[in-house]
Amino acid sequence: MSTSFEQVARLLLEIPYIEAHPGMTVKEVAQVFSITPAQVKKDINVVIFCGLPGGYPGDLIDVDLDVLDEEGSVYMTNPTTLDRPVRMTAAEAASLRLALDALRSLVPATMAATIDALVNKLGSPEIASVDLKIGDDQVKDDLTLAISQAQRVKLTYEGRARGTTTYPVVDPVLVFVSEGVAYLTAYCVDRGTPGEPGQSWRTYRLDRIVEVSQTGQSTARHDHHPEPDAWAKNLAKSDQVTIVVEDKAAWIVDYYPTTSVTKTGDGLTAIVLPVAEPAWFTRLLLMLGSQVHKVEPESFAQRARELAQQTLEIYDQLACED
Amino acid sequence: MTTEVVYWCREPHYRKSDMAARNSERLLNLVIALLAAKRFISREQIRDLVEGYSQAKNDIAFQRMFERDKEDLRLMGIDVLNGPTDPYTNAMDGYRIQPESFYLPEIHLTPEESTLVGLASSVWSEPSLASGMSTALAKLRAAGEAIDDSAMTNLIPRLTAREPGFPVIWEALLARDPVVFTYKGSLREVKPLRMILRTGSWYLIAETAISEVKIFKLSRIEDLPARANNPGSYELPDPKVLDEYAKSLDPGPSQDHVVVALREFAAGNLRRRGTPVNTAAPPGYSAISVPYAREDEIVSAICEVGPNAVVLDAGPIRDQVIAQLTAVAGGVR
Repeated sequence: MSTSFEQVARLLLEIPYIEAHPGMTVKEVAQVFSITPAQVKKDINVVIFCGLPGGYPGDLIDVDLDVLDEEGSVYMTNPTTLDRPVRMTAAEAASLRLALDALRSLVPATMAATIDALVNKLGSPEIASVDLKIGDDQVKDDLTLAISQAQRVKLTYEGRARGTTTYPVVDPVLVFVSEGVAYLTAYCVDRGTPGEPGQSWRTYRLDRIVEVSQTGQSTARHDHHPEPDAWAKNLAKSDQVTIVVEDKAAWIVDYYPTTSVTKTGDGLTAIVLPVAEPAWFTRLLLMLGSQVHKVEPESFAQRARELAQQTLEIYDQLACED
Repeated sequence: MTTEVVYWCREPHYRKSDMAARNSERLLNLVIALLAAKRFISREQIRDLVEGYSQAKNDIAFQRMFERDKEDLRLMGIDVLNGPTDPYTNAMDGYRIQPESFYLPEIHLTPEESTLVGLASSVWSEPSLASGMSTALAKLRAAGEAIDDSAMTNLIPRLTAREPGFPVIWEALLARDPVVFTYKGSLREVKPLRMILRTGSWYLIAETAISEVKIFKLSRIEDLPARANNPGSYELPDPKVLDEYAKSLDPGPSQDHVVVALREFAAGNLRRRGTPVNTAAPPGYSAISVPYAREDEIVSAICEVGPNAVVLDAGPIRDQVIAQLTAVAGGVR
């Protein structure tokens, strides 16, 4: 695409924008349009040669170049019909609509109606949709309310990695979405399980929070919470484990972060993935069963093997009792 | 015109040398002229009115320039209408831009709506969606809307598309242009109808060559999709019809049940899914009847929790669980 194409597409917005915000500095305009101040000046140098057909000075768009030079701010007189921005292209309208759809499932129920009204107002077509794993609406609403009112809450949490239900008491801080899944960042003041290490920042999957109950207490002040994707960065530092799986188990690539994926050609796929929590990896192995052909390093398969043996012993005992 | 406007220009050298700037001026002046026209104006009038066209050496050069400019405007989403300069004839010899189809409609956002748009602005980390989003935002700002993108920092929705085929299919869908790709080993040409982002993966609902509507998972496309270069060649069906297809991505209703012994305080997911029953269970376990739609899914869910779940009902589910655990245990029983 040529530079003049981009320039004209931008100018169709820049002209009404500058007209609607008289006295803005070149720097400010540059920021709004993500361009350099030098480009703003180039744009202005194009604008002052444009105007209504006829080309008399009064028909042209005028920018006060003295003020521009001295103060760096832009004042524009625009006799043309370019006083409002161009309507959105299909791509723009669709990106905005889809982002609003994604928000709808995240914001409190009361705001969902506002989003519907907004989507209606913008009149953008529905060509795509978003379906996030948010979990229970009540849980989401309770959490966003607790965050905005700084309330300490008690969660009922299905910790998948351990397969047990816990009741941590937390100060909720932030809800974020990563890879299509919503998470809560909270400061855990009581893990709800005896013998567990004490207070720390933790991340909970929203769809595994079964219930949020009030404690009647307010949240305490805490240090800056970790970045929402801090755990993703931590993953990069964790152990790298290679598993060779049958192609039909390759769906795990869609669900978990992976470091590399290689088809080995004989109906098998070698996947290298970061393992931050061994308990999680054990569950993955149990879930995939015979579809896993090899685990490297071997030691990561040890726990799954033990648990499978223990379980089989229970089946043996039951068979004896029958 | 040039002699009159020299007065406005501080940098005459820049003007002489910069071809791109002159092209921009011509294109912008063309938009202004076509937009100001109250009726269709002929090519000859356009050539006279729009200053940049005087540099065309002859009719053919002008024609070529004008066609290219019209195409650029079309790509910017601006419709240049074609119609008769003389309403009493049917000769389609004139052009104009209709103000109604050109401008962003008047949208007055409430403060709450502005906050939501600001929040929406940070959603996309996929480049083509993010760039569409940022120009959409620029247009709202240019219309005088104050969009605050720093509010509500306790909600951070961030969505992406890691599938390499995403940008091509997204553009194709916007242009209603068929795409060609390899899926499950065979080459297919399909008409994209809708895209769905579901728990981090993108899906495409599309009509196949034999007019069947099918769902494709983008991560399963085996090559880089290519556009058929036949934009606007089909219409999108009623969104409600597509909603029905989208639903088929949901797991089917649970029809069967299996009784499983669950260890107390463990396997909460299975416990919550099912209902307690009066079947004898080992000490420390309770019997729960768990509904399921697909055998492979329930087998995985039971195996996953190891000794926390033991199938009590004799039958295919128990057999498969035992077979799978035996495989994990390394074939040793």
